[in-house]
Amino acid sequence: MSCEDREKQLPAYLEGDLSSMEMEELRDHLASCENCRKALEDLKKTNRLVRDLAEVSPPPWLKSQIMARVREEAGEKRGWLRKVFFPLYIKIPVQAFAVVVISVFAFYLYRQDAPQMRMKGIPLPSAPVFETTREPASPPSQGEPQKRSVAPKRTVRSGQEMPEASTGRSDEGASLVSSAPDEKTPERGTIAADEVAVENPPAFPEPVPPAAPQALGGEVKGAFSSPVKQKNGEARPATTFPREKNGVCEPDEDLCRYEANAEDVERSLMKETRMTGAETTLEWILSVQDAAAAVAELEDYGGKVGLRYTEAAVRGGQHVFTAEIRPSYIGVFREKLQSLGQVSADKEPEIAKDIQWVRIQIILVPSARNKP
Amino acid sequence: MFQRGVEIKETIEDEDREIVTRCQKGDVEAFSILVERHQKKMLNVAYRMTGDYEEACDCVQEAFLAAYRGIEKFRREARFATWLYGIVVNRTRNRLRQIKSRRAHEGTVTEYRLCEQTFRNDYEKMNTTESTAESVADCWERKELEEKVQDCIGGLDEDFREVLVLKDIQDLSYEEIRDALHIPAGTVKSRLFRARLALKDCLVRVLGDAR
Repeated sequence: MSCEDREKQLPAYLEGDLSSMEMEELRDHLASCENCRKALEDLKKTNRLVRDLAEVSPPPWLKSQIMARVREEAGEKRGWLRKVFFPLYIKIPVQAFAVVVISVFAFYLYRQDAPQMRMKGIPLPSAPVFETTREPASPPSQGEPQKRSVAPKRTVRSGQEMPEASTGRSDEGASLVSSAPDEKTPERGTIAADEVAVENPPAFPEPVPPAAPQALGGEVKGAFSSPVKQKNGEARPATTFPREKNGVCEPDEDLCRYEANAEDVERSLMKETRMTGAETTLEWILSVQDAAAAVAELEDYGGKVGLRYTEAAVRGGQHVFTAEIRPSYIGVFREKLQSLGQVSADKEPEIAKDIQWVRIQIILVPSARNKP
Repeated sequence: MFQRGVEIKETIEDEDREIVTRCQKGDVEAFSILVERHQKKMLNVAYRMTGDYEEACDCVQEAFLAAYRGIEKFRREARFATWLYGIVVNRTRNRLRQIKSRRAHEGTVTEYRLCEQTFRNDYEKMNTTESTAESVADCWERKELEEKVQDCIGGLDEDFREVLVLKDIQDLSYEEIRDALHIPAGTVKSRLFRARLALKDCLVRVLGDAR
C-alpha cells in the first residue's frame, strides 16, 4: 500500500474507525514514514483550526424579523390576496396611491357634473330651484282670449340670491318670488314664483338674445337660451333655462328682477314650482265653457299621455292646470285640448331633442263659444 | 434493524418537545422561544457554508419561516434542532447557487464583525490595557487565519462542506447528520474523511509548513 493510500486512511485512523489490523499496519507505517507522520500532524492541526473557528453572533434584529414574518404568515392564511401585498413597503404605497387616485377622480367627477346637474334641474343642496314667470301687464278681457299672449318664462336657479330677490323687490309692489311654501305640497320644497302676463310681446329672435327678456319689461341680467321654437302664433310657449355662460351656470347672475305695477300684482299668479327634471315650460290658454269640467277631464286624460305632477288650482278666479309631459306626447295632448276648447297654441312646438320632460301649464278661461 | 432505529429515535430526549407541541397547537409566540434557542447555531452553519454574514442571516430567516410552515408535519423522528439543521442546510445550499459571485465582494463586512466580536471577548477576559493592545494584534492575525480556513471550507464540494460544518463545527453526531441530511451514516463518514483531507491539503497549500 502506497503512502497516498495510507494518507487516505488517516482521518479514519484518528476517529478509530479502522479495523484493528488496519490500525496496526498504519501505526507501523507511520513509525517509519516521515511524510505520513507529517500528514497526520497537518490533519490534526486542520481539525483544531476548524474547531477553533470563532462563532458569529446573530444580529439583534434577526429574531424580531423572523417573528414578524412568522406572525404575518400566521395571519396570512386567511387569503391568498394578502400574499400579493405581503410586505408593508409595497402595501402602504399602493394604498396611498389608490386613495390619491380615487380622491382626484371623485373631485374631477364633481367638477364635471355639478354644472350639468344644475342645467338638468336636479336640485343641489346649496342651490334651490326657483322659477319666475311674467305674464302680460294688462289682463285681456274675457271676450278676447286670443289676444292674450304668454310671455317667455324665465327660470332662475339660484342659491343665496333668491332671498334678496324676495325681500328686496316686495317693496316695489310687484308680486315677486315668495318663499312661502305651498300648503298642498310642502314636503316637496316648492317655492312660489310670480307670473306676469305681457300683452303683445315683441318677437323673439332665435335663439333668444340676452336683450329679449328686458324687452318684455323685466329687468333681467344674463343671457337666456331657448330650446323651444315657435315661429308663429300669438302665444309663444317659452322656454326657461338657467342662465349660463359657455355652458356653465353663474349663480351670481341667476337673479331675475322684475318691475311691475299694481295692476300686474292683481293679475299675477303665484305658481308653485316643483323641483323636477322639467327643463322647458309651455303655457297655453284654453278657452272652454266649463273650466272645472275641462280640468276634471284633463286629469282623467292625464294618465293616457303619461302626465306627472298633475295639479289643478284656481288662481285669481282662473282654473290653472299644470303637469309635466314627455315631449313626444305634446301633440296628442294638444289635440285633446283642442277637442275641449280653443287652444292658444295652434302649432305643435319644437322641442329640443335632449329635453326629457316639458312642464305644461294650461290656463282655462271661460269662453262664450262652444267647443269646435 | 430499522425497527430498533425507530425505537431509539422515539426515546431521543428533545428539549424542544414541549415548545414544538405548543407551536403545533397554534401558539405563534412559542415559536419565538425556538428562534431564540437555535438562531445562533443555525446562523453559524449558514455562515460557514456561505462565508457571508448577510446571506447567512437571510438563509436563517428563510429556514425558520419554512420550519414554522412545516412544523405541523414534524413527526419527532429526530430532535427538532436536527430537523432544523436539515432545513438550514437545504436553504443555504439553494441560496449558494444564487450568490456564488457575490460572496467575495461582501466579505469585508463579515470579517470586521468577526474581529470585533473576538476583540470584545478577549477584552472581557483579560481586562488590561497592555493585553488589549496585544489582543488586537492577535485578533487581526487570527482573523487572517480564519479567513484562510473559511476560504478553504468554501472551496470544498457542497456535500463535503455540509458534513464538515455539521460535524467539526457544530459537533453533531453521525446519526444527527444522517437524520438532518437524509443520507446513510456510512456516507456521512466517508464524506467527512474526504472533506478533512481536502481541507488539510488546502491549508497546507495556503499556510505552508509554518503551521
